[in-house]
Amino acid sequence: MSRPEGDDVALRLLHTADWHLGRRFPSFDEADRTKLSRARLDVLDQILLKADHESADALLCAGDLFEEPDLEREWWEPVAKKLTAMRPRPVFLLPGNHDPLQPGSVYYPGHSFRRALPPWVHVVDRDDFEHELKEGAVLYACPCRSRAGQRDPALALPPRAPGDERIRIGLVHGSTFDAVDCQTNFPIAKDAALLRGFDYLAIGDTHSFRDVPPGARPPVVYPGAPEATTFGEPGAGNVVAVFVSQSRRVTFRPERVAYWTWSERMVRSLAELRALASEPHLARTVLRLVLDLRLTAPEMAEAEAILTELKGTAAAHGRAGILQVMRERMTLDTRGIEVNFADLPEVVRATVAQLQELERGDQAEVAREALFHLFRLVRAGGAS
Amino acid sequence: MRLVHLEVERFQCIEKAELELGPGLNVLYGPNDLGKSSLAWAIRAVLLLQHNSVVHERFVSWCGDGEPRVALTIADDDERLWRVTKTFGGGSAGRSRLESSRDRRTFTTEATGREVDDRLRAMFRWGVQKPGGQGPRGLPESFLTQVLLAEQDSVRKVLFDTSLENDPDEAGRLRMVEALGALAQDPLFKRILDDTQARVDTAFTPKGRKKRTADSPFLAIVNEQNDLQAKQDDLTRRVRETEAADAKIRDLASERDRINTDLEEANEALRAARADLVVRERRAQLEAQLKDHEATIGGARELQERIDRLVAEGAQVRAAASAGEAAVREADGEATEAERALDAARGALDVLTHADVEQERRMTEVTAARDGAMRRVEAAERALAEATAALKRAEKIAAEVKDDAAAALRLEHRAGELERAVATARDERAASQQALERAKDRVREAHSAAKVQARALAQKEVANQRLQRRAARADAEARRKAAIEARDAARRASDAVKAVEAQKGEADRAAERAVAASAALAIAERGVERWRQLELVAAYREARATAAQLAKEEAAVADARAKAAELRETAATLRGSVAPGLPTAAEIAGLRELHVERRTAEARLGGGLTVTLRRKQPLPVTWEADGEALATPAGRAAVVVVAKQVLRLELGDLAELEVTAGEEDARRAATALRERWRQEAEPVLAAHGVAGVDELDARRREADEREREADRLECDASAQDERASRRPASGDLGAAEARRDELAAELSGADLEKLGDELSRLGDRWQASLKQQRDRSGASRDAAVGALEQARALAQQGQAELERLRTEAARLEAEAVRRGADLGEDWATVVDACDRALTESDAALLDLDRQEATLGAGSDDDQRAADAALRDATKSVEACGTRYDEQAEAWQRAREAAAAAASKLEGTRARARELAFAEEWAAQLASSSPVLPLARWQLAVREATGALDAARAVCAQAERQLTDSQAARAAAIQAARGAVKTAEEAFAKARDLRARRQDALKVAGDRSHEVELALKQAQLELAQSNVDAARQAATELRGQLAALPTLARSTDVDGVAHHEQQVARLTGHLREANDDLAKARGALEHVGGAIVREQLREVEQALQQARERARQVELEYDAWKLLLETLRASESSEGAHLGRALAGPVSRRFGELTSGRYGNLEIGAHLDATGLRVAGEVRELRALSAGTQDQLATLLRLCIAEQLRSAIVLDDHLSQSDPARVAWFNAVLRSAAQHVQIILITCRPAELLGRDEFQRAGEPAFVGAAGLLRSVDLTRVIQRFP
Repeated sequence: MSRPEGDDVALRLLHTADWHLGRRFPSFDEADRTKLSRARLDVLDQILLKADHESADALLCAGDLFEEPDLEREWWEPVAKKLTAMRPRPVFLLPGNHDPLQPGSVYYPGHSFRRALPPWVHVVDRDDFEHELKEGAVLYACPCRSRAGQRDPALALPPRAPGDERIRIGLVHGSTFDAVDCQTNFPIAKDAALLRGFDYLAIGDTHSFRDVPPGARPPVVYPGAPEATTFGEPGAGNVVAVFVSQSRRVTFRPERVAYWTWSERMVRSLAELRALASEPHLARTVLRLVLDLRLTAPEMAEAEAILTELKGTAAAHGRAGILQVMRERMTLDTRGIEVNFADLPEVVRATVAQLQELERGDQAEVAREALFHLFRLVRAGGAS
Repeated sequence: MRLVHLEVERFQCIEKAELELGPGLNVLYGPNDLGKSSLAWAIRAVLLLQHNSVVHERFVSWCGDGEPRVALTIADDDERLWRVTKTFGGGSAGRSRLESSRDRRTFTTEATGREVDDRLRAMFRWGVQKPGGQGPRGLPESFLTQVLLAEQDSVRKVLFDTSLENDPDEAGRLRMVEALGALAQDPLFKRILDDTQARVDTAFTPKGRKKRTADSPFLAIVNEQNDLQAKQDDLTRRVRETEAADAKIRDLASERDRINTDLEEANEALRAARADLVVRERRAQLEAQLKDHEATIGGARELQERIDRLVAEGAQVRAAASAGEAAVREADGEATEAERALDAARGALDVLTHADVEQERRMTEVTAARDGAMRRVEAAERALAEATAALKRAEKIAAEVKDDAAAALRLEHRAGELERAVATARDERAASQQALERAKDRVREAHSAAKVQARALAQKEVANQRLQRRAARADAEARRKAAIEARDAARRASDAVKAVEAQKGEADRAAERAVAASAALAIAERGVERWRQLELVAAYREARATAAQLAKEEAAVADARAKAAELRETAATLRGSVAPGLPTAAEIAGLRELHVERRTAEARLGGGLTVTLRRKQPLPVTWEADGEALATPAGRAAVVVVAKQVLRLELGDLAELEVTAGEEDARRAATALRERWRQEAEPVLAAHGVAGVDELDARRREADEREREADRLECDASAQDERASRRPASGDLGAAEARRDELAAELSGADLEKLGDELSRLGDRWQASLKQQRDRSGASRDAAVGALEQARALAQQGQAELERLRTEAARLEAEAVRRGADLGEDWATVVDACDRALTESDAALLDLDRQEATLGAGSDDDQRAADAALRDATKSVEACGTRYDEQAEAWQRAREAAAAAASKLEGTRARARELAFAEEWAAQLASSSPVLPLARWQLAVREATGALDAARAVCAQAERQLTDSQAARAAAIQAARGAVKTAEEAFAKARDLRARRQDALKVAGDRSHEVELALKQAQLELAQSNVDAARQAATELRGQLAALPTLARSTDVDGVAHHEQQVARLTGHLREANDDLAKARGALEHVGGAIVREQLREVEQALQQARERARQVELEYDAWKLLLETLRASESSEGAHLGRALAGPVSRRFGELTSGRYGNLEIGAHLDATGLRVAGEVRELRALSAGTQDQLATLLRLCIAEQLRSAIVLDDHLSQSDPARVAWFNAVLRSAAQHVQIILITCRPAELLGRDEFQRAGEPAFVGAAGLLRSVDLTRVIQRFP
């Protein structure tokens, strides 16, 4: 959607949500968890830069900014610092279902986070939150007070009064009518924005950019998470720039801010693996490789070498930013493996033969793996 | 392993021996039969034999008592000391103990008994069988025990009769593989093996179990899995809670929706029932109203019929009156006609008379005026002539002035003259101007005089005629005015009468309104009364219902209290039926326990007794078995009596015997318990008349049940009392009944049933309806009262006005009569006559106007001519003015020229005297007239004179006509007088006729008035009956009735109440469902919802990956383990390796010993020596000499001990060797002692020790070769049994 002509724009907003600061990534190893957790905080700089670039009148943050309502200081203190160091501009922080407004939460009045925030940052800590964004434009918002609930937060906002011609922006967190489990996760009715007379309903919860339903008027938009949280979030990594004209016509567009790209790849041959390893831009990719391979021992050794190159070692960075390998369907083809041991002492050959015999029994997988161990030991011994 | 210390006691021939052993070669020497081999046996026995083995019997001393005892201290590879102590013997005599010490001073027991052998077996791994196994009895043996601890006579057994293959356990083989494998391993294989072993060691303990230490590769992943599993379990639980909450919410929402639906249906049913009830009541109400309206319509119909009759009668009366009126009008017409004719005649006569006199007088005046006019015409003519003359002179003077001016111009040089000439010219101009004005005035005077004169002449006659006519007309008008006044008076009188009539009608209508208002008031009051009655009925019904309710409640209170009393009585009865003093449940339990104990104790006595009595003489015997008396046969026959516990026997008077079963303790216990039973239980049972505890317990339970029942009844009674106390006091009932009776008295005589029905029709909201209706009726009554008072006031006002109008009408009538009397005749006739006279006068005046106009027209012509002449004259004057202006301009120019010449004035001033001539000439000019053309003036004067003559002629003609008219007038006056007389006669006849007809008309009018009054009365009543409204209302009511829906079901108040209860019940359920739903939603908010599912998915994924990683790690290390095992197995399967490994060093040493005479030793896979390879052929070992066999066997054993790094005991191993070989062996042994401990027992120490290597006296042993050689004289160590 194109941006309207400058003179016609009455209100500029930057809409974001679902930062999930403090999120752990238990599927990854410790180093990668750290990278992914830190990325949540780093992307804030990009968001604030984008707000400057768009000259946004306000930054709307639609909930789930923190993974938990009562995170450690190491997570909320940098946020407060970044918001303090930013160019002054109204910022609205909305408690979501991950970080609901409860006693002890970072949003609760009296929390050190609240005290550390600059005056232009407003926390939505009232059900009847209302703020004049600028003359003729007003924001209404309602926070989540629990992790689950059936109350429609959008319908909890006041409707447009007769004769009220101001630009009305709604800011809530919940699941739209088309989402799974929406009935227990603050369901947002299909026509909530229309019923309440909003010109734009800024919402948060799902991690992919979506306008619900597409092309609806008034728009109801999920900006998605600025950094994806898992694989299968194709629209993640964006914020939404919103423009409202004098005639209250609304246009918006997603703007990419993410550093990481999440990619899940299926590899069915060694050639594919070789090709993938030579791809550029892997350094900013969270790569999940699902290996569906049946390889001979030398091929397997090569594949392992490639994976090591992608993953990196203690001594060298890997080519992929973050690598996760699914080896369930990666198997060793031991047929003819004895050829690799032909010139070796009898005892080694006897060991190979015995392992091959075991491979035909109950210990097939272990025996196969042992054969590959032996292959690598022999190869290492030969090399040395 | 090496031996450190040995203690032997009571072992075969050795009473006691103790010695220290060094790390290298220990030479234990002594003579034969000293017990050297017993020491070797002691070492074998303590290491291999169980302390209770039957074999130990061979160790028992032949001489002394006591069990053989051996204590051997061993140092392991880590220099930790282990002490094994065994005392051999069966039963408790045999003992084993294993102790250890790290500080080599204090020992700690590690194991005892059979475990000692297990520990040793595991420590040495010699491949001996497990203790207590299926192997051969005796000293456990294996290949390695043969190698390391062989008996003196079994030295060669290692070559021929034993191998690893025969070992009962694989441990020996494995140890050998470990020890010997390295000797023949390939470097690559070794590296593989080492790497594999290293990998395995990181994950597994030496026993093959997974490591659980911090460096275990499994630990981290297992911990991670456990953590994730715990999280997954927690999240799964929370998801289940979420789902449960969600499901509960769905169920509750569904339930709420269902209740909602039911509630809507119930509401709908309630609405329908209420609507039906309303329809029903509405129908009844409408039908009642319709009935009222139909009654009204019936009354109206009768009134209408009456009205119709009156209307018909009124029509007849009015027709008669109309006929009378027509006759009166006809008579009036005739009288009027006669009157009019009379008036006309009289008017004409009067007019003629008056016109004649006036005309004469006017003629005289006209003539005089004509003469005056003629004189003014003549004077005008003269003035005109004079003006003409003056004009001519002026013209002449002007010409002269002009000439003089020209001369003056020509006389430029005479400036003084010119200046004077100018002044003169100015004066002349002013004079001329004045003269001109005068001339104009004269012309105007002449002109107006001529005009006035002409007009006066022309109008003289006309004015005369007009005067006459006007006089006649004024008379007629005066008469007419009088007649009109009389008529107006009559009309006013008539109007007054009509006003009286109208006022009377108004008064009647006011009276009618008063009547109607009165009727309305009566209706309203009836309505008020009716509603008051309805209210009374309602109050009565309410009071009656209240009284009934109160009576019912009072009855209920009485019932409740009676019920409470009854319940209390029943409770008291129940409590009374409970036996007093029943033991408590605890007490009964105690009794029951005592009963059980007693029964148990007695049961323990139940050993069974059998007594056989054989009487030797007749003797009366009485038996009692277990308390039961038995019959005893007489005689001497033996009697056998059987009892369980007690048998009592009474032998006549001789003795009484009681036999009791059971042990003494049991009996005492039973007796005590019986005593307790008698003291504690039996009185209680007896007191309550029961046989046992169960019955007592049943009584107790029954009593408890009754107590509970009594409590329950008392609770019920209290509840009844509570209910009764909550009910209203009976005083309310009295007040309600008094109120009911009071209302009933007030309503006495009223149709309560009808009023009740009517009240019922009002429905539930009867109070509001009653109030509304009562208010409405009150308002109607008030309005009716107001209307009545207003009508009464109007009626009074109308009556007063009527009286006033009647008075005024009477006055006006009198005045009209008076005016008619003044006229002397009927006013109408006078008026008509006057009108005719006026008409005629007006016609005559019009005629005169026309004549005057004609006259005016002629004069106007003249006037126009005179005006034209005047205009011409004016034009001439204007032309003169123009010329004068031109002259003035010229004069101006001249003055300018004079101004120019003024400059020369000074020069000519000297000649001023010469100007006298000019002054005279200027005086002449001043006497002259203005310059005008007079010819036209003369012509106009002549024309005016002609017109004047013509007017004179017309005047003469008019005089002639006047004379003629005078004559005709006189004749007309005569004729008019005759007509007046005739008309008077006709008028009198017509007036008589009219009077008669008016009388008849009056009679008819009176009758018509009566009929109209009756009609109005009927119409008033009809109007009051408001039949149209009633019909309309009836029609509407029928329409409403028809429009009312047909009721398919019968609904009454109870049905509505039922629906209301249903709605109330469902509303309560809905409220509860909403509360439950709110609670469930609140619960949902605490369980986590979508977040938990999301976290669960994440943890499940992480757990799956952790499991996969764990599987991979497990697979990897299992694979390493399998690889290691397989490598080992392969290595083991390559038995040649062990043989080759061992064959090398043995053959090398054997070759050194035999100078290579026999070749290399061939050793099999199981370390079985297969032969010697000599020149490529393998020869049997048995072919060697016994000494050589001993030597070869010793070398083989020594090599194995070296590989195992284990101590070896050699007991006279080279007994058949020559000294040279012994010496060679000595060197070999000393060399080997650097690596392994050798216990060498010999009776020929000189072959092995140097002179200085023997134990010296007072020393415990000889130690040399840096501690690697130790020699001990066993004669100093072994203490034999004497």
